[in-house]
Amino acid sequence: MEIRKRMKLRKLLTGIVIVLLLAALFGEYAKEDLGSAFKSRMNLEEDFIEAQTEELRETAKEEARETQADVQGSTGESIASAAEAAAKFPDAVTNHNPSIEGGILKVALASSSAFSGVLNSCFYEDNYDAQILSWFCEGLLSYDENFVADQDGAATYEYDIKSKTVTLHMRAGVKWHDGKAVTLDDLVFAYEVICNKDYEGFRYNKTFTNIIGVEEYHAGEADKISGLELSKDEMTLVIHFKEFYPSILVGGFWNNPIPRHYYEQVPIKDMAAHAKTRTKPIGFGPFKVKNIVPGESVELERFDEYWMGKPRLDGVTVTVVKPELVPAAMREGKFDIAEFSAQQYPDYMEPTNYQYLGQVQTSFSYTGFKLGTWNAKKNKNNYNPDSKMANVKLRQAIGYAVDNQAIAQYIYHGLRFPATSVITPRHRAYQNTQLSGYTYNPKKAEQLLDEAGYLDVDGDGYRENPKGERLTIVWAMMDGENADVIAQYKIQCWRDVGLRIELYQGRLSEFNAFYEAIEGDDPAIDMYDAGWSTGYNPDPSVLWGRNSAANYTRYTSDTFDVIIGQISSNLAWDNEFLTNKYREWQEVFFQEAPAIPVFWRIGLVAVNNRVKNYENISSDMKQTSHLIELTAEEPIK
Amino acid sequence: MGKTIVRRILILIPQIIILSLLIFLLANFMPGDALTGKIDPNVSPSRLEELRQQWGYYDPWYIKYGRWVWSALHGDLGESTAYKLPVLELIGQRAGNTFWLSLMTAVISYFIGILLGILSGRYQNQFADKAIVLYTFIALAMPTVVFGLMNIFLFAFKLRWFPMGGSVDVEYVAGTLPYYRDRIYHMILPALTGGLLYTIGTIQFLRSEIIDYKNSDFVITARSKGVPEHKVFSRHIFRNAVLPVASFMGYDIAFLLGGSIFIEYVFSYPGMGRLFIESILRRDYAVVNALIILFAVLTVLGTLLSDVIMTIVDPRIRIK
Repeated sequence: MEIRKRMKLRKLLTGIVIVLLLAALFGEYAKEDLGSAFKSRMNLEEDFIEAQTEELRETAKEEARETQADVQGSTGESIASAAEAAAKFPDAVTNHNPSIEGGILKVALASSSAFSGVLNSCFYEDNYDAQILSWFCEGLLSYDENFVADQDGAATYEYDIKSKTVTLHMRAGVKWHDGKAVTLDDLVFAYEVICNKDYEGFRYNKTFTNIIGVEEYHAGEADKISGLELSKDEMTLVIHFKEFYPSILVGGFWNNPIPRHYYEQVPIKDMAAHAKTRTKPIGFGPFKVKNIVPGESVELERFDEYWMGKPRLDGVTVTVVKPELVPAAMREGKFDIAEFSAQQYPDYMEPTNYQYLGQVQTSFSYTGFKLGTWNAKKNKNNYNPDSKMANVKLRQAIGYAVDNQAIAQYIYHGLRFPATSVITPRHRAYQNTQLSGYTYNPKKAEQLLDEAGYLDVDGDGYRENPKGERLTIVWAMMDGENADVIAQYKIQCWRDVGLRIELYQGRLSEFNAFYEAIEGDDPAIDMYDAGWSTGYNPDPSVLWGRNSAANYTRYTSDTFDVIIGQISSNLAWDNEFLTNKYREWQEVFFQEAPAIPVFWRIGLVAVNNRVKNYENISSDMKQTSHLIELTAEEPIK
Repeated sequence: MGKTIVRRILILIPQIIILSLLIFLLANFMPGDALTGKIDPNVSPSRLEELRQQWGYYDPWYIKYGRWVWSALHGDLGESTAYKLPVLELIGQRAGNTFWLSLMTAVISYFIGILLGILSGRYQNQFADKAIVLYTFIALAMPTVVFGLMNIFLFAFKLRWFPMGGSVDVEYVAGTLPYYRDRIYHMILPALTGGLLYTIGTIQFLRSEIIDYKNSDFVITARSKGVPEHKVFSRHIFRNAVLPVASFMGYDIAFLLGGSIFIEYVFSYPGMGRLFIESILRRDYAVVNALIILFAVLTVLGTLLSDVIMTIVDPRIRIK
């Protein structure tokens, strides 16, 4: 009996030890190589969040103590300016090894969902389709580094301010993948598709309605768009605009043709779903589609008659890969090119078989304040001077209270850096580099709040509003990568200056719920964190204008109206005038603070060491993929 | 028998009507729609409004529902807003993938389950049994996603035995032999992942049944009559113990469909489960509705199948 008991005990103990060992092994294994996947799971745990937030606070405090006046000067891996960003991440690969003949480039499409497969420039909506399209399709115009159309594309252009026209001249010898010549009639066809009443895509907007005859065509009153004047040989097209402003040259009119002969028999309603779009699309780019596995992968082969010369690669495969698997896949040499997100980057910050290319994006994130409502009938924003956040000093204090540098450094590992204005450094010519933005300065925040009369009357550690009433500010933030840690940290930063800020509905919001509440001006929300990409044209009227529904702050002011008006006026053809107005705009924005710019971001692309001549520029600006070469048969491990 | 099946199918109709109504109402309450958050410098809010009008998003729910039922009866389940494809065509593309993957998962799961279940029941409390029970506990505690990622890491990245995801490599031409071989090759790892996890039910079930029968009167009688032990086991115990397992096959259809959501997600496998999750996130109502109805029908048919199998294998409980 005794012995049997002891045996049992021993067995039990061995069992426990084995299980513990297994758990430990598993833990090690997980920590090392499945980093991101596990981290995202762990993020759900409150303890973890608190620990991280605490760590962030500690380091931030230390940092503040060390360099009290000059937070920007902090060292480490942090990035404080666009120049530093450019220095850390190059934008082109340097590979001097001898190239091999041809070869297949393996591109990973980092996405947790399948790509939609709407492979037509007039219809696609998601960014993954756009990335696939960029390998075999391109616009007629190419763009310089300031996003202004230049003369290097498949068509050249000239414009005339007086007659409000742009004239396009098609280069000879540009061919579709089926061998037919690309003509400007194909561009006219693209206009006829997008402006048709049967078209169900997003593209139809002001850039189209600004062309003479488009609205009549859209309403079905005309068969043709009268403002598009095509020459007999179909190689010259004159576009007549209603209003002619400088940003027309900054991606301000559609220049992606689609092959009329190819789609001739397909009704516009059925185009997006048609096999000619889904599985057998054609373009006139350097590669042509060979095979498509819907939602998964695309195989492209060299197009020998490409107008800029025969591409050097034999072909390209584009495959969807889950973002969590991207770091390991790149390290194991499964792919040549893959985009990295800020969450995946820390897995291997010093890779040996591939390198990171970085580029400052045209997007920024901001903390916006809800200051009014949208009047859909009159199509304008109604600013409410009595709203909770109407005091500009309160808004500025909220901006000064948060140490974005610390978040950028410890959470984003330098892939975000504090934004000083709403014009990104990518728009170098227009950015106001004199502005220092709302850099972390809790003293100044407290001072501003004191001045504005927000004082802690009842001594509970939180400030009351100037009337002495309890002040709770409700803040909406979307769930996402590391969002919970950042939210907790920011709330603590604000608490440190005496502001009681709570999350909308007590939690992070899901994407759809967030935008529904913000677009619909939910009165419960006082401020929100969102992002915005300006695209080619940083024209502020789109996001901050009086008549813009996307101006979710609903803030309007006369000074804004004047400057925004000037930026899109005819005077802006004078580049110096435009530059000055943009700088002035950023300064006024900084002072009136309807929103606090938070981060600019660096887009990160990992490129295997066997790739040569790869440039990290958006391929819709300038096509360079026909120049890519490889220096080994397989991706380097 | 035939009557029962007809009756069951007739019950299915009101079930589906109520279900579709519920789904419609719930979808209506979900925040946002397919066009939420789409505003950017190239997409004007007025265009989105125009599309909302055009797509009938502002109509009251009963009109939307009526319209949906009407076109569904005419064989049109609407069009996916994200994929710009008719829903039936989209689901058709994915259904085959899910079917084959589920079938392979089920085969692996039953194979392992029956084998280990018998071993475990026969050698109760011996080493093999304990190892198997330990395995079932680990598998029970293991989240599908984590196990899937581990397998990808080990078998796709380190050992390079299997591909890391997807359903087929792009270089194969559909319809050829290498194409089908590659599809099976892509299915092995996800099916194994699913099979190894979902088999635990079968193992536990079979084990407890065998242990129960081992000490039942008729088995003791057989033994006392001098029937050899292996015959007792295969004739008397196993035949009886495997009955309930067989009858659960129908229920497994629903279970496999539920599991496919995770497996397909981890392995980037383009099946219905993954489509379902994506469509919810994108507010692709037409697809969500169609898939839920489809899952519901399959579940009900699955239970029906279970009952039918039961009556076939066990004449004692034949339904009157």
